[in-house]
Parts: sequence; structure tokens; C-alpha cells
Amino acid sequence: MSDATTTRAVRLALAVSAVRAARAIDAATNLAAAMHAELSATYVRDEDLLRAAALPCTFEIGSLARGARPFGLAEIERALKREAADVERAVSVAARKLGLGWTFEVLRGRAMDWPFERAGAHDITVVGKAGLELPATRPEPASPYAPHHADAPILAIIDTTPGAFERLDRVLRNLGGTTALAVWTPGTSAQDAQTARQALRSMAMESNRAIRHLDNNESFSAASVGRVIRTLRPDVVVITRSLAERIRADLTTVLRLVAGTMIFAP
Amino acid sequence: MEPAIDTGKARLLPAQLRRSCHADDLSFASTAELAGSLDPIGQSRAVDALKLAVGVTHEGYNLFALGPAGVGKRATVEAILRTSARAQPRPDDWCYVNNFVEPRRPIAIAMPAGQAAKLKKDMERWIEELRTSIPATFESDEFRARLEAIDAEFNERQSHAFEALGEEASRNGIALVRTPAGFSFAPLADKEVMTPEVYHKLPEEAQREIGAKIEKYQADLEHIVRDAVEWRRERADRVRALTRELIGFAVARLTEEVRNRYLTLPRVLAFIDAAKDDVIEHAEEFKKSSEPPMPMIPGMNVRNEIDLRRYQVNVLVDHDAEDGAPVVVEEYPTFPNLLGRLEHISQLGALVTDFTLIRAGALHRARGGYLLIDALKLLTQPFAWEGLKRALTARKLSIESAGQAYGLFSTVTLEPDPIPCEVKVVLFGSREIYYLLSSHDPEFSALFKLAAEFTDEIQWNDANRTALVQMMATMIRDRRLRPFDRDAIAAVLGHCARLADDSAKLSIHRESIDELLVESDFQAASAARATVTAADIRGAVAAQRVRSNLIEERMRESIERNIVMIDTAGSVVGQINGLSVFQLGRTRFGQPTRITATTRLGKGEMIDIHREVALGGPIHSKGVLTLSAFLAARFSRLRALSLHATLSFEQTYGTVEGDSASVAELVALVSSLADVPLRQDLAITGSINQRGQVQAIGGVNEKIEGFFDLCAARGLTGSQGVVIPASNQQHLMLREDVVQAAAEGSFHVYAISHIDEALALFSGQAAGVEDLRGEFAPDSVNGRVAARLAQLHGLTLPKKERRAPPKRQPSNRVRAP
Repeated sequence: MSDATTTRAVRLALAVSAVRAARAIDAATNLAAAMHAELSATYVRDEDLLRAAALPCTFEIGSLARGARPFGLAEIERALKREAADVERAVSVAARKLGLGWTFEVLRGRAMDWPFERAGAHDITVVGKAGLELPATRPEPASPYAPHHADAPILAIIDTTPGAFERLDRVLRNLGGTTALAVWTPGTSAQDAQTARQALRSMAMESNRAIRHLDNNESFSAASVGRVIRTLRPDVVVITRSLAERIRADLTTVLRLVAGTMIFAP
Repeated sequence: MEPAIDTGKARLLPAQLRRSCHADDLSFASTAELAGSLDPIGQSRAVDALKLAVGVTHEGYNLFALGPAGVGKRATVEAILRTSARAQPRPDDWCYVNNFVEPRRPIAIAMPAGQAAKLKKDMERWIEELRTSIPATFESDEFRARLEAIDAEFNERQSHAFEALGEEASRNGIALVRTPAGFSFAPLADKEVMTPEVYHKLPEEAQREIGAKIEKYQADLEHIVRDAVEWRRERADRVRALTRELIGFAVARLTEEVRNRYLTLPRVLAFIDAAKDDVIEHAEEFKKSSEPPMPMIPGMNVRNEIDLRRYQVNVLVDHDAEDGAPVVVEEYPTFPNLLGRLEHISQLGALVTDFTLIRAGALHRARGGYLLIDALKLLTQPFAWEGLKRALTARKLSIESAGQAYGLFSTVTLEPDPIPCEVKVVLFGSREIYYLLSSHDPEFSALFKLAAEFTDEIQWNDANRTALVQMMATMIRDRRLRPFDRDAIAAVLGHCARLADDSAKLSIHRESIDELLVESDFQAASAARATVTAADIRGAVAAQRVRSNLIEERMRESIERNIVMIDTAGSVVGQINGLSVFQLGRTRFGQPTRITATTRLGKGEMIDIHREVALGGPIHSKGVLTLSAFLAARFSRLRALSLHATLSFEQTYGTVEGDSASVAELVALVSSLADVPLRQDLAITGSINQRGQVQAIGGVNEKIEGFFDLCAARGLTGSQGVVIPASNQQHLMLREDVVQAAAEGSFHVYAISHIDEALALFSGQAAGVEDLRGEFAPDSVNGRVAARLAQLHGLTLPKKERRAPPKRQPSNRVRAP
């Protein structure tokens, strides 16, 4: 069965500025083009943010400026509207470049709900969101060879359930790029780990990527996911939706803190 | 009646008119047999000065080689210095390297000869190795792993702080929310941010409690943000330290190899160490070289990678290929060519420079050796002389532009380390330049203590003749000319004496001799001769004369056609043929000039028409005043000279200078006073003194030949000739055709010592000798003059006194009035 028949749409949910959404847009358009799927993009006006802005007791603490300042709903609405327009423009440019059919809408909600509540069974969902980190926490110029956007690794989090490798492989093949791939198969047995390693080797050869198999003995938890992500600083995290659903609560907690692009394979 | 002068005594014999070199005196058949010699001839004074200059290394013992152009000053100096230089050690090489602390002050390093170029190559290789080893270090597993560890720790710390705060806040019912520009805290309700409706329904106490919590977490968050900045700095420091450690190790390994080659050169080691430290400091910039260049605007040169030129070595002076001390001849001694310059390149429309663009000047190249400069060229180049003096005085070479040196420009530029100026400068130029500098430049004498005086003539003796022949043989061989037979060489030697204008001397003017040799060779070639003969020499000399005698011919033609009136026969009162020499470039020729004198009653005025109209030079005026004084002393010791005399060089329209016509003027004046006609078939030259003695003049050969040529053109009568001072007899080197005419009796040269001899020769009468009473025989020329002057004086007296003129007294009994 070809990708085109199984994947009807690539859903892109963005709750971030156009600048920070670039990697997610890039991944979504590449996947859509490779799978001949439609790109359905949504700018998500973050529910929690809008609620917070509407409250009289909340203040904004700037990442750079010191001190808290009051902020209101109107101000946030304006900021989100501007962000949405920028994001639409960026999606438009990327889609046109690849000759994609695409749609764009602005909705209120939570971006992390999209893979679980908005996507179809065969859809791939790409989420781009901000985390709770300070800006410019990427490696400093003093470290010229530290990973940055272009060569940061892709982290694939998979389990060893039947079909998991195939599903992951399908996404990775079409994701493009030659960046290194770190794969984490948490909590698997020694036999499963052996199987995983073999599958990963063949995947590495076919996708022309350097693959690094992370320690598979660690149990899966919000803390362990967070630790791996913070260590690797991946540009993209790819996860099968089945696994994601299984650890949704933990994942949501972790990803609320970490910025980046999440790809949910069907 | 006194007899007239015995012209036979005054007349010179043909053999006295030219000193010939006899081929029999030469002991070779042709110059092919001669080995030649490179030793300078007749320049012992200059050679001694040169040896002193070579031997004395003290400050100011630079040398000025002075003498006429074309005598071979430069060749001689260069040859001697090169010989000396070969025995001297090679001086140090010098190079400029980057000053990593203060780049605008590049560092100068001295190294043993040949080492600078090696260091340059070593550093180039070192740079190439860095290009690969540094990126390799950055890509190494060790570097990546340790960097990841640092990043992980940093990220962990930051995330942990946020997570901890977020979790704590969450446990207390407060959510940490990301805003477009920062963060916010909001109350939670059922794990979601509370809606405003729910919030407003809360009791005031609950709302206040939420507010207090939010305020607390905001303070905590601000604290974390502040800490994060510090963590980031700490992380950067650790990454930098990691880079220093690993890159430092890699660079040190590469550097050690280079360093070990220069262990005896501390300044080189300091440079290598500084370069190593700089590489480590800027290691991250090596990565950029592998990245694609920045988009460029056409014509704009934007460098993306690190400028590796900063580690290069700019070899300023390399003595590797030299054998001994350098001898540098600077043909174009401009300020930058002497003192070095800073080149610039255009970058984004601005001119920029760096230490690699420092260029050596001649003083740098000649350091430890000798620098030869033509003084005239040096003095005509703006700022060059001042720049040279400054370098010699300060004994250091500072490279800067002339504009910078004189404060004309204020652009940002370099101030390279000065280099010690240890060089012996040899200037060569004319005597005039030397004496001008000595007189007008107070620094000159202190900086150029030695003068090497070159002469262009030597005594004509056997030793010098032999040496000159050897020099000619060398020139013939070097020029690859045909061999010269001994007759030819004898002819050349004769020409050398003529060039010296002295039968006792030989010219060693190399340029003139060289020209004659080359042109004689051409004559021989034209005649298809394998050897150059005397005929070729004569042909070449004649051709030289013909090539340059157009003006001379035109002037003579004017005389022949009586446009310019010169008589060469007959006798005329108050008119005489003087002789002048014209110098046009390198050509000299003589021509006769008619000098006339008129006399009448006056008050002792002697009018020189040329002086009156400002066409007479001071020396000429001196001559006229001298003859006036002689006249007065001889004839008017006890009474006023009641005379008004006028002298003129007829048909001359330019300035008349020199006193060589003063004898002629006096003879013309006496002729006018005595009413005695003068021979026009004779011409005369010579200067007079107050005692009536005839003194030597210059250009005697040309003057005689000038009158001879005119007479010959009109047809020699046998009575024609030239009267010259006896003291000029030794200078006679007349053309062979003049000598031939004298031998045939068709032309004569007379040598005289006193004015009376001239008077007798020109008048054909006795001049007259003053007797004890101070009187001359009435029928002598002088007697006639005395009588005429007495007559003129008488006319000035009151009538009653005219019959009793005062009695003349002998000159040895003259008392002051």
C-alpha cells in the first residue's frame, strides 16, 4: 500500500511565531509533498494563554526585561493575530514552493490536542510550539560546533510493538535531510533491543543517516523524556501516535516545557 | 730704432703643437694580446677613501663619490664595494609578523640569513595544517561528547528550574504560561487555566490569595531568569575552556614541530607562541572557512572565514641567495623606494593595509652592506633626501608614507617596528652637488664624512699610459669589439690627451673613451676590417666632430660670407682678431671675434661697451679694468690719463665672459693710441695682468683650430697664425691638420709672455723699452702711445702750461703723488 493511499493529510498545528515555526512548516510541507497529501495548517490560539490574559490577576514577565507588567486580552489578541498572519504567509510560501494543496485556519485550543483529537487515523500531525525556555538558550557562539538548527538531530521515540519501525521509517524517509538520528526505545527487553538495533541499522543505511541508539534500559516517564530531550536538544521529535497516546499525560507535561517540532506518525 | 720681435723665437715648432704617442712605445701588436685590467686608473685618492669607508663602521662614515660625469665613478665604486662585500658576512634577514596584541604595530624580527624564508614556509605549512586539524578537533567524538555534557548540564539546570517552578506552581493551583514575549502565571481550575468567569465568582479572599501566589512565583521566575543569564555565561566559559583545552592540545602539537626549528631565536619563538595563542583564541573562526561564503555584492570582497594572513610571515629582506654583504644600486631613489612603503588594498571602498603589505626599501635591502645612489636623482625626488638623512641620523628605518611622515594624511595606518639602519650609503655625483650640499646642508658633512674624489685625467707617463691601455683592452673585450692594433691605440691615447686639453696628461673619461672605441669599431666594420686601425680612430674622431659641428659651420660660414666681419689679411688700426670658445653641450669650438678700440680726449674713462649694456660678465670686466690699470701705470704715472677709450667685441650679441681677450683688447687700444695698424692675419688669446704679463687661458686648442679653419677656408697665405700665452704651450694638442700646416709653414702658432711681444708681432714694429728716464723710443709703439697720451693731456691744460709738460720719470723712481 502506498503512502498516498494511507496518508490523506498532513496536519500542521502551530502555536508559535512564524520564525520559530519554520522547522515545523518545513517538515510538514516536505512530508505532504512526499506523500502526495494535502496540507492542513492551523494556527492555534493557545487556550491557556487567552484565559490567562483575560484574568485581572495576571502579569507578563519578559524574557529579557526585568519586572512584571500587566497584560490584557486585547494586547494578546493583537499579538496572536499578527503571529497568525505571519504564520499563514510562511505556510503559503513553503506550500507554493512545493506545489502543494493547502488550507489554513486559525482556531482556539491547545496545539498538543491536535494529534489526538483532530487528526484522522492515517494522518500525520506536525506540531510546532514554544516551550518554557528562555530565548537564545541555544548554544553560544563560543561553541562553533554545537548543534544548531541545520544539524540538530532528529529524535525518534518508538516502542517495539509490531509495525512501529515501519511507521517510523515511512515518516523518516519522507522527512528529508541528512541529519543524524537518535532513536530511543525505552524500556525494551534485551531481545527487543537487539531486534531494534538491527532494524535501526538497516534504516540508517537506507535513509543515509547516522543513527545513534540511546540507552534502552531507561523507563519511560516525563522526567526521562525531558532528560533525553534536554540532552540532545533535538530539532524534531518523531513519535508514533500509538505510543504517544499511551504516554499522553507524561508527554503533554514534558512538551509543555520544551519548545520544538513534534511529528506524530500514524 | 729698436728691432721688431724675432718671430722665429716666438713661433712654435710643429712638434710643440701636439704630443704624439708613438706606436713603437707600445709593446703589443693588438689589444687581443692584452689581458686587460679592472683596476681603476688614476683614482688612488678615491680608492683610499673607499677603503676607509669600507673599513670604518662608525656613524657618519658614509661616502660621497664626486667627480665629472662619465669617469666611471659608479663602476669603480661598485666594483670595489662588491669585492669587499664578498668577504663580509651576510647580514640578517628581516621579516614582519603580526602583533597580536596591537596589530597596528607589526613586529620586526631579525634572523640569520636564509632563515626568514624558511620561517615563512613553515608558517604557511602550519596554517594549512590548522585548516584541517582544528575542524577535525571540533568534529571529534571527544569534543562533541564533552560539549554535549556541558550543554546537557546547562539545559538540565535551566529546564529543571522552570520545571520545578512550574510543578510547584501547578501543585499550588497556578499554571506557568508562555506568552509571546515572556511568561505569565495564571490560576488553575481542573488542571486548566481558570476562565475569567470562574475567577470572578471566587470570593475576594481567594482572589487575593491567588494574587499573592502569583506575585511570589513571579518573583521566583525573575530570579530564575536572572540566574539563567549567569548560567549561560558560565556555560560559555566552560565551552571556551573546553575549546582552549582540546584545540590548544591540537595546535600545540603542530606548533611544537615548528618551534623546535627556531629554539635559538627568542623573538621567533615569541611570535610562534603568540600565533598559537591567537589560533586558540579564535579557533571557532576556523569553522567558517568550511561554510559557504556570504552573498556578495559584485565587486565587494567580503571575507567569511578567518583571515589566516595574520599568521603569515612577511619576509622583508631575504639574503639567502647572496654571497656576502649586499651591494644595492637604487636607480630610482624615490622616498618609498628608499625607505619602504605600506601598500593598501581596497576593501568595501576603503583602502586598508596590514603587515603583509609592508614592502622593503633599498635601505632595508642594503642593510649590513652598501647602498649606491645617484645624488642628483636623489635630490630631485620629493622628500627622498630628507628621508635618507632622517634614517641615517636616527639609525633606524621606519616605514611610513611620505604623506604620513610629513603629516599630510591622517588615515589609519600601521606603525611597524623600526629596523636598525646599519648601511653604508655611497652617493655619487658632481663636484658642484657635493660642494653645494657641503655649503648649504649642515647635516651633510656629519652624515657623509668621506669624499672620494675622482679625476678625469692622469699624468701622461709610461706607467699611466700602460694602465690606460689595459683599461681600453678591458673595455674592448667587454664590449666585444674588434681588436685594436697598436697604431689605433696610439691614436686613442692621442685623443685622450686632446680630451684632457693637455699634452702632459691623458683623459680617463671612460664614457668618451668608450664612445670612441665603439665608433672606431664601427668604422672598421664599415671598412670590412678585422682589426681597428689608426685610420678608424681618425675617422671616428672626424665623424664625431662632423656630427656636432653644425653651429660651428654656420658661424664660420657667416664669416666666410662677410656677414660677420673678420679679416684674415692686411693691417688695420685699432682692430684685432680675438678668439672665443663656444660650448654647446659636449661640443666645444673656437671662433675669431673682431675686437675694436677707439680713443679720444677724455678724463681717463675706459668704456667697455659690453659692460655698459650689461652683456659683459664680471671676469671680462675685470680684464678690462686690469688692462686700464696697466695702461695707466705704464704711461700716466705722474699725470692724469686724459683719455676716453672704447672697446667692443664687434658683432657679438650675447654675453661676453672671461678675460682671455684682455691681451687682444690692450693691443687694439695701444694700436688706436699709437695709430699703428695691426696684422689681421693673426689672432690672439690670453689674459693680461697689471704688469703686462700674458697669462694662460682655457680652450687654447679650440681657439687655434677655429682661426685655422677660417684661414684654411679662405686659403692659407703662409703668414697667418695665432698668438697664445707661452704658459698655454703645454696644453697644445692640436689637430693633425693644423700641425701639418705648421710643418709646411702655412700656419703658425706663436707663444708670448708679455704684451710688448704681442705689440711687436701685430705691428711689425718694436714695442719699445722704457729707458731710465721712463721714456720710450719715439718711433716705437710705446713711444707713440706716450706721445699721444702726452698730447691728449696737454690739451686738457690751461694754454700757458701747455708748453711745459712735466718730465716723465723712470718707473723705478716713481713716488706717490
